[in-house]
Amino acid sequence: MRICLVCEGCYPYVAGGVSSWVQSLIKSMPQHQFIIWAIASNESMEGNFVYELPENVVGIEEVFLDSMLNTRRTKKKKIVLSDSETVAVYRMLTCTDPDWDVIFNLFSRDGLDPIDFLLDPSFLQILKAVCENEYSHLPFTDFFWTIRSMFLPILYLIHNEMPEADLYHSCSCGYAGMLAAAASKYYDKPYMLTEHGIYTREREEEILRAGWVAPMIKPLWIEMFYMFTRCAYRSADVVTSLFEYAGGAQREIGCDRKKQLVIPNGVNTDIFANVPAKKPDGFIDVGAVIRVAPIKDIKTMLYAFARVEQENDRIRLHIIGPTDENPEYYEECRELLSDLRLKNAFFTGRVNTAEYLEKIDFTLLSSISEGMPLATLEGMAAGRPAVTTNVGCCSELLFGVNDGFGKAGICVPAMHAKQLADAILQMASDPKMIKAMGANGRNRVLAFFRQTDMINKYLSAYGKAIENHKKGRVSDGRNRI
Amino acid sequence: MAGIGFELKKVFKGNSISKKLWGYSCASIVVGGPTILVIIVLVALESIAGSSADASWDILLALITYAMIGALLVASILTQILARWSADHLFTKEYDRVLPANYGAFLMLVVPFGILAAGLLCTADAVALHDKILTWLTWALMTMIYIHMGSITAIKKYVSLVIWFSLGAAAVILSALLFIRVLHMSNVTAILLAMFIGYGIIFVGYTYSLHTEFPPGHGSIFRFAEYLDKYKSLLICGFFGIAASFVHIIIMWFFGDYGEQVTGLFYHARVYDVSSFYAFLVAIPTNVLFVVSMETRFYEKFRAYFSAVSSNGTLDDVRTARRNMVHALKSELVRLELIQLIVLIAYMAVMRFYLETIGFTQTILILFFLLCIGYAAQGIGASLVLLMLYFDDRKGAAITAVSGFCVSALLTLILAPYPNLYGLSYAVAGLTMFLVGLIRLNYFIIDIDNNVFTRQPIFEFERSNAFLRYVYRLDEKALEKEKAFIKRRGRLGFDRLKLREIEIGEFREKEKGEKT
Repeated sequence: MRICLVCEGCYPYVAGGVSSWVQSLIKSMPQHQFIIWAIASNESMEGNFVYELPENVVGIEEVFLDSMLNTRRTKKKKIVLSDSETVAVYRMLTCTDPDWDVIFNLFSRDGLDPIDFLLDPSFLQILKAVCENEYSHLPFTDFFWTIRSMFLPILYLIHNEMPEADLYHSCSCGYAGMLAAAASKYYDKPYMLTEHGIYTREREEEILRAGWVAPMIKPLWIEMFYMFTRCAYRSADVVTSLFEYAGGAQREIGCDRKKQLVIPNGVNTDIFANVPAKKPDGFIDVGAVIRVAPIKDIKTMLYAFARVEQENDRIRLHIIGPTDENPEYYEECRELLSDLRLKNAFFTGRVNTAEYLEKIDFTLLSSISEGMPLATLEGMAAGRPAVTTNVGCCSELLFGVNDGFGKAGICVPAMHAKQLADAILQMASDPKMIKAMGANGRNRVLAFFRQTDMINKYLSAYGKAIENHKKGRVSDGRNRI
Repeated sequence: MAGIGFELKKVFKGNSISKKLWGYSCASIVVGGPTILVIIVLVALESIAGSSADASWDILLALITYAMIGALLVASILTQILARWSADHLFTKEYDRVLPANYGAFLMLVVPFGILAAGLLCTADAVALHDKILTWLTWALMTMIYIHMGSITAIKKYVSLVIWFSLGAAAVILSALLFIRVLHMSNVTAILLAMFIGYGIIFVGYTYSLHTEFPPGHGSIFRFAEYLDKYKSLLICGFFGIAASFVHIIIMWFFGDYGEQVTGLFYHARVYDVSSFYAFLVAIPTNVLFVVSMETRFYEKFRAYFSAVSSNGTLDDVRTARRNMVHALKSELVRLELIQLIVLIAYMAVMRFYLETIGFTQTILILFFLLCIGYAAQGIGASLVLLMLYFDDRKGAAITAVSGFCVSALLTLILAPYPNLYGLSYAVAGLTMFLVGLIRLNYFIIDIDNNVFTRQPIFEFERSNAFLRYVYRLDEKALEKEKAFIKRRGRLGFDRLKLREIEIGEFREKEKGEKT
């Protein structure tokens, strides 16, 4: 079977948890062929892969959002929309869940060029109606240009060539989810959605924090991403999450329970479970296996470690992971490290995680937002307990859900440097705790988070997606007579 | 042109007739002084030459007519481009880019067309060398003055312009009298020399006024040439808009029954020419009224609409402002057209009596009336073109200007063998320009929301071609030379740079002060 994996802003350009998951998924399914449909922001990323594509990747379709900056109007002929198309566009612009089949058809490769549409009087006519009915309080020019900027990327992506496959599997909602839904409709093939985090909530947080978006316009942007998510949920034949709480969040947004599956991440236990224990060297080594990106909140980690170093200078912090994703943020972190005069904190860059874990006593995670962090799982598989922030399902991983394996680490609130520091010191001061918690974590991973189990579940999920698609999609209650 | 309208408005405060007369006089001088002056000279010479058998009057009339029309046509190639360049750089407060463009335009036009003009003058065997030189110099001065007109209307101290113009006009009259009556020079030389002195004073005065208004230049004088690439339609609109006024005259010289050779390639059709010059004056009130009234009253609503668009106007605000603007535009246009119609009728009625006394026959009177209709309608058409440029409908402006020109040229050629129908071609051309302009403006206004919003490109693309790269390179080299000069001259260079910075700084402070 040919599976098209739709990845947004991750594989194969950025090393991280989701990218590693994609790589392991492909490698673990040599019986299937994969096409990577990669959406990235800049054309400069073209061909710059940080992963070696496995042999069963038969094609890669790269789409860059900044390519639309080079597009020009193709036709000057006036566009005439049918009633159903007008209604669909109106509902899309008001983020009230249009008939996406009409939208996908209208802006498909054979359909309207989005640039032509956004320059056409028909667009203005619909927009004025939207503004009058819903947003009459907003400055019109801001509203006009915001709507153009909001919808041009997605319409541009839909208008691009779509790779043909037997099944579409997107790694998130958002643009990836929309493209997979459009391709699934276009080629009439099954679509499976896997959410590693809650994409919509992450975008919402980003937009609320964003300084470049005027406050009165932020709700529009947020609502648009929620609309994309609902589209992905409705279009998908199967929707998977990594843990039950995430599944609940999906249902809150509008996912049908009948198409949901929970497939936790899995770790290659053959590799990680055989990582030997660290040889005592008089130091306690803490390993933070992360990308250097704002969402991982390295700065809180450094502030916490500054407190730790004051109390105990026999503890070392290794920040293990790629530093090239956000050079500006990395530079800020380096400056902070220097300003705090940390002697025992290091950025290692990208390394072989399994090999490096040999030098580590326990792992550290200070993220603001997570799903099911693979790094923590890998550390647990290697018998290393974790100190994490209480985000995503970290508490489930460390404490289990009535599984009898005991605690595998300490959870603290996010962005709380003091509590993070206290947890590090507590762990570092008790080698017995490290050993016991490490064993608990390993046992938990071996029981519930093996990669082989994960792959089998995904294979089964593909089967279910195909079956659901044949049945004509799981009813979502919208088509009742 | 907006700047001068607002300044002149202040003169009209209060209801006294004298203030209004003074205001309209100032506006007339600033808007069209140099052209009005030469037309007055021509009609004055015509009335003197009319009864004389001396062929030198024909030569003089032909030389001045060629100089005037030549200057207007040549300058019109770049006037709209320069007006746009000045407007854009005034808006972005790059005041030191305004004056260099004028000097660049001088070189770009006066040099190549000067060679053509010289060649043309060489064919005039009956004209003495010194008269040829004076004609060429007068043509060059007129061209440069018309080039200055693009930025002259940004000068707020219009009184200085009025004074300089008045001095120039007085110099023409007084010099002519001096040369003819006291120094007993030949008529041709005396008038040409008087014109040269008068226009020389006007040119110096306008140049001085511009230098007191704008800081010294910066960068290449040809930097404005990028607008030739970016705004080709302005070039078309500018040239054909002016050419439409004169192409019928030129065709009559060579193909009409009244046309006759004066000397070499200098032709005229005296009856037709003088009728045209008299008729030309009928459009002056429209031009003045446009600047003083239309621009100011309409411009307030126009600015309110675009403020609603570009600032925080809601959809209702934009709609209300648009409604008000369209209403103001329509009512001002109707007012302009009515006043022009009244002026046209009154002018024709009054001039009829005068022209009959100077020997105009019924046939020539009909020619004159038709030309008046043509110039009046074309005057409104020209106002419509300016309005289209307000809305940046450069395509519409170009179409309107070209339509007037084409109808004028074609119809004049077709009717050239029929003297009884002379003037009809220009009347039709003027009315065509008026109607085309009206239809186009109406079409644009009806669809203004689309023009303002939807048709705006989503992405800005930097134009790049060999011509633009050459222009930018010239500018970079000029800037590098300036820096190198300052470095080389050391303290003096530093002082000059400092002085320039201080001048620009003071200028900007003055601007700020005037605004508050």
